[in-house]
Amino acid sequence: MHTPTGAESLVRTLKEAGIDTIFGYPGGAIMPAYDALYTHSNGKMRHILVRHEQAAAHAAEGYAQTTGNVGVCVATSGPGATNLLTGITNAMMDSTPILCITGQVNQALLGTDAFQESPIISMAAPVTKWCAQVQSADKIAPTIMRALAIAESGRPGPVLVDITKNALAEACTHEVPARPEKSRPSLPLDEKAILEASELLNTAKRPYALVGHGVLLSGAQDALRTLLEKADIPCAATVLGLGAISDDHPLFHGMLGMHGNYAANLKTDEADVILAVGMRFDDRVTGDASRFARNAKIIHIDIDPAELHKIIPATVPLVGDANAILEALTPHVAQADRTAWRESFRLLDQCEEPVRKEALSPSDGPISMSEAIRALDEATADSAIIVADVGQHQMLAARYYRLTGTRRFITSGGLGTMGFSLPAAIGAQIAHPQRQVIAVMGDGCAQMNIQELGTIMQEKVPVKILILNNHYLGMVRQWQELFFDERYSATAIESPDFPALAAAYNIKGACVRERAELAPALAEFVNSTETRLLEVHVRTIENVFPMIPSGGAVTDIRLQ
Amino acid sequence: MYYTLTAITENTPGVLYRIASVFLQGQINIERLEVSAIDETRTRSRFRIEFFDTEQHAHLLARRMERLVEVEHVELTQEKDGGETPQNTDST
Ligand SMILES: Cc1ncc(C[n+]2csc(CCOP(=O)(O)OP(=O)(O)O)c2C)c(N)n1
Ligand SMILES: [Mg+2]
Repeated sequence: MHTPTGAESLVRTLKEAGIDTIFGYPGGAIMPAYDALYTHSNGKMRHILVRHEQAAAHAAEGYAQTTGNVGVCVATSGPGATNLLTGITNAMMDSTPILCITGQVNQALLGTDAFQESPIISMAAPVTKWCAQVQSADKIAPTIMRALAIAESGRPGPVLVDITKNALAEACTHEVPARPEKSRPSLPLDEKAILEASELLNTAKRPYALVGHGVLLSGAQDALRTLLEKADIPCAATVLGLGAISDDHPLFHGMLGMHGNYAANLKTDEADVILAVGMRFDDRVTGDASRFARNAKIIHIDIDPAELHKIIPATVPLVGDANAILEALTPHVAQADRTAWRESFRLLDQCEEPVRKEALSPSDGPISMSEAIRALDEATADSAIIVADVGQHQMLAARYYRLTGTRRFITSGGLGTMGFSLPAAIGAQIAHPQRQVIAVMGDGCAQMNIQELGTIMQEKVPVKILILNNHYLGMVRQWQELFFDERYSATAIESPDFPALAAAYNIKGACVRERAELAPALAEFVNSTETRLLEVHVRTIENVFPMIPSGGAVTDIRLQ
Repeated sequence: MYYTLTAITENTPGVLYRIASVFLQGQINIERLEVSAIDETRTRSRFRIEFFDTEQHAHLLARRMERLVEVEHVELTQEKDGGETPQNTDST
């Protein structure tokens, strides 16, 4: 009988855990694993060869965020492993479950500065939920199973398993423990706290709900909507919470934070009770935290106890799964009609109308980034997945791309990682071959993982690449304009001919400069069954408003 | 204020490092540190760490430590400034 090697045990374990897609890049230490993949590549395990390991991690994130399952990426030791770190950190910040498997030098060589040895465990420890090194073949299967369970339980996050080359190469007894059921630990609900929370909501005059990524992670969208509708509570979302409540819901008032909506931000200071669900009061949301929600008692629901009282002290902390807690809370919450309070949101929303109007319908001059986003919104399906990169285009996509139907908005929230969108969109598209997946990026971001056009070419990923070219690192330029006396230091950026570059990768590209060409070009772009790249030249100077100046309070929000 | 934090953890490589990372990220200096395996099978360790910190931050630090997968239990005790006798015990 054939005795399996550690590498075969690794591949079999992944299969038994239900994993069918891996993003990775080979190299010396991980070669035995690639050899085992070769044996098992008969359609059951798809390996996507990326062009840089950072992209493998981001692709795994895009895959995980759009499926709710753990995304898997593989890299070799040394530079392969260190190239993963930005993606791992991004996944940690945004609570995305990914499993990173890295090769490592032979056990006998550890600690000798061997060729391509890097202390990846030491480097990854502070930015992973868990990581471990495996030095013997028999430990591979149980360690991978444990890593998967940790990645997806409780607050999800990245895990890393570093496997020495000898462990991959040597023989092992392949015994795979069953993959534990995906567990949102069903912590006993704190009945007393639930009653306190309902009491606060029932006596509130101006209750307001802040919706975060945790709602999407726990699948609590329906439970949340039911509660908000019953108690007639207006809400707004963080950038990663967008889509948890449909954009066209009458109780939804947009995005919180530095470039969030006017009413959404100002109302945090007027509310008397804030129901914060699966959000962590990031400084981009609160502005000056000492001046945030000054009039409100806070009900804070989060699965991670370390988030409670971290930035904003909670009056009623509720630790646990958002869906379970909201379902338990709703029966105790009284039906209410808060017409006047709701109406006050609408009035404030109207103050933002001139900003929207100027951004979306400029009377003349070059296309604005905002109108390009709105044109994309009008061209795409109800089930499109938008993957936004980082910068002005990201904030404008969050503002002007409407999340209705089953649309999803994926972006790098906590880390703000430029170059995220192209690889993450690859991951999302591979998970959802039938859905429109559109990466929206600036000219700066476009060049931060442009090498992935090679992955797209080889794997024929029909992702759509929209580059909004303002010839600037626009978000930084905006800050220079507003806070650094228009001293535009190192923010003008030249780019290659993007459609020509795409053509070099056998990808059809096009370029739009005129307003009249925009809608037809976008229609062709989104409806094509193949990969497309569309570069839209937009005005060089456009600022994202509203804006809370950094260090300011939400009440310092500026409309211009 | 002067705190003593006691943590029960897995006895596996890297736990000290992960715990130290939490202190490093919070820029908190460790005044005294004791670690030892505590059971016969040597599968678990006890950490005893003494440090100065503000009350709010010390509690946050304890919760961030509890978040580590290898950490099973954390207890934070406030000492009289620099002293040895526990004043009040606050289990986090
Ligand atoms: C890896 C990385 N480096 C630097 C930054 C800082 N940064 C944030 S937005 C931005 C500009 C992005 O430029 P572009 O892609 O052209 O987008 P625009 O703002 O012009 O829409 C920069 C440099 C970052 N977020 N990530
Ligand atoms: Mg730009």
